[in-house]
Formats: sequence, C-alpha cells, structure tokens
Amino acid sequence: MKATLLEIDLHNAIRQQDELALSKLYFMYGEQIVSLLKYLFQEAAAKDEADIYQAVNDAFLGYYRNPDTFNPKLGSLLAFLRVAAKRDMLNIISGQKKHLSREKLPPNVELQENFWNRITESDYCTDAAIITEETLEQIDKLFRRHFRTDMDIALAKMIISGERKTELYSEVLGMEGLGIEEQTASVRKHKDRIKQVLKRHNVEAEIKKLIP
Amino acid sequence: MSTKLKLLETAVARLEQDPDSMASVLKKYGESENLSAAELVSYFDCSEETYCKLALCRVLNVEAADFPKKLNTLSEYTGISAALLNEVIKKVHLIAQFSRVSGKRFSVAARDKKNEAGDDRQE
Repeated sequence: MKATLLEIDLHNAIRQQDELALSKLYFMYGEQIVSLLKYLFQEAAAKDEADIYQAVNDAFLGYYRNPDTFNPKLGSLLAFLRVAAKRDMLNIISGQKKHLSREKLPPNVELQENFWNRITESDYCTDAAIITEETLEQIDKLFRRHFRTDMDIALAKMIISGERKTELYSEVLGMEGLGIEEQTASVRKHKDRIKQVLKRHNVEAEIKKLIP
Repeated sequence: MSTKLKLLETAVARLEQDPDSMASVLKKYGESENLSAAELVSYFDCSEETYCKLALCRVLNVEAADFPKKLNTLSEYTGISAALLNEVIKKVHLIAQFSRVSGKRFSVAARDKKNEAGDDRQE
C-alpha cells in the first residue's frame, strides 16, 4: 500500500521544515504506534512503559530529522513508522540485555568493545521490511474477516502453515491438562471446524494473492 | 494520564534541548518568568495536550517577512491567542539576542583586559 495523500502532504511539509509538521505527525500516528508497541512488547511495557515512549520518539524524531529515509512511492508512512518504532524498541531491549550481561561479568574480565563483538542494528527501514509488514497486516485482516477470536486465528495460521503436532494445538486451546485421547479428539474437532471455514472462503488462495 | 499525553510529554521533554523547537522557547520563557510548565498551561488558558501541540511545533523566525502570517497559522492550529504567542516568541528571541550581545561584549572586554596586562608587562 502506497502512502495516502494526507501522508504525502505531511511528508512534504516535514521535508520543507514546516512549523506545524512534527506536531501534526505526533497527533496523527503517535497514539496508534504506542498501542502497537505495547501490544507487541507486553513484557517490556509491563516492566517499564518509558521504553515504549522512547522507542516511538526515536522513530518519529529520526524520521523528522532525516525525512528522505522514507519513500512514499514504496509504502505508507504508517507502515514506515511502525517498522522504525519496532526496530528502535528491539534496539532498546538488546541494549538493556547487553548492559545486564556486562553487569554479571566477574570484575577481572575485560570485555573488549571492538568491531567484531559489537552488535549492530541497521539504522534504516528497508523497503523489504515495510512490504513484509504491510503484507502481514493484510493477512491478519483477512483472518479477522473470517474468524472472531484470537484463538481461532492462531489455529488457522497453524493449519495453513502445515503444523501437525497435537500438543501445540492443545497448548493454543488451553487443554494441556486433559488426557491424550481427549486432547486428540478435541483438537481434531477444532481443526475440522477451522478447516471448513478456510475451505469455504478459499483463504489459502487469498493469502497467496496477497504475497508479493 | 492518557497514553497520548504521556507520549507527547516525553517528546516535548526531548525537544527542550533543540533550539529550533517551541518546546525550547517555552522552557526559556518559563525560566525567565519563573513559571512551571503547569503554570504556562494556565497562562495560555489551554489544556496540557494543546500545550504539547504547541511545544512540538518548530519555532517561528521573528525576523522573517511572513512572521505575522505564520503566527496566525500557529494560533489557529493551537487555539492559543496570537497576541500571547507573539509575546512569548519575541521575548525569548530578545533574551537570546541579549545574551549573544552581552557574551560578545564580555569576550571583547576580557580580550582588552588581557591585552592591557600584556602591554603592562612589556613596559
């Protein structure tokens, strides 16, 4: 999906250093992207919400200061910012992990910070990442059109991806406590139900159409 | 506090160090008038969200020919009176100019003093 006219206007305003542009950007997409990160990084959000805000600010201010990293012909601004914010959140988490692992080192061990042991993350949102993000979003929308609950969507995704292990389906269905025979029977029943919906709406073919 | 307001406040806090942002202008104005951010919100007679909306804007160039036009646009966008915005922006601009001039004077005076001391030694 390409950038909308509203996004193109805002992008041009940012490039021309319009006085209101950054403020408009925050009001247009700020809340939406914070909610997405809170959903994707639930554990990190529960630990310290400030990291989520930092990641969103890094993404927005990074784009604001280097607007040419976004190409409106290749994708939407929303998808670009979502990818950038997720990348910045992953960088924050990896930075924290690195810091924690350093703290655990015995005092006489010297960690040599050089090119070879430095973890580097790309500073750019690749076009491929944006396209993948948008395709996944469209596939998710497709599933939501046919299934009402997150559990059914998870089961449908497992069936489409060819998953066969009963214990994994049981886990999704929350039936780990039941006996094996009972689990197998129930999993089969749920799988049949989901497969019927997938077949009736030709979901697999629809997904293939969405993949570029 | 809402998610939106928390995000806006953290963004404003980061932009306070950026001299091109209204966040930095508002901070300097608050310091000069001894007003906190909460007091500035009352001063502008607006909500906290509107205050952030203003702070996230780029600072207007007081010396540009289209300053009055842009001031009106900013006032329309934020709903804050153009007269108040004009006062705040121009005062901070004056403070910046004053500190630049007094900084220069100070360095010229220091240089002269140094030269005089050097002359004394030569004599």
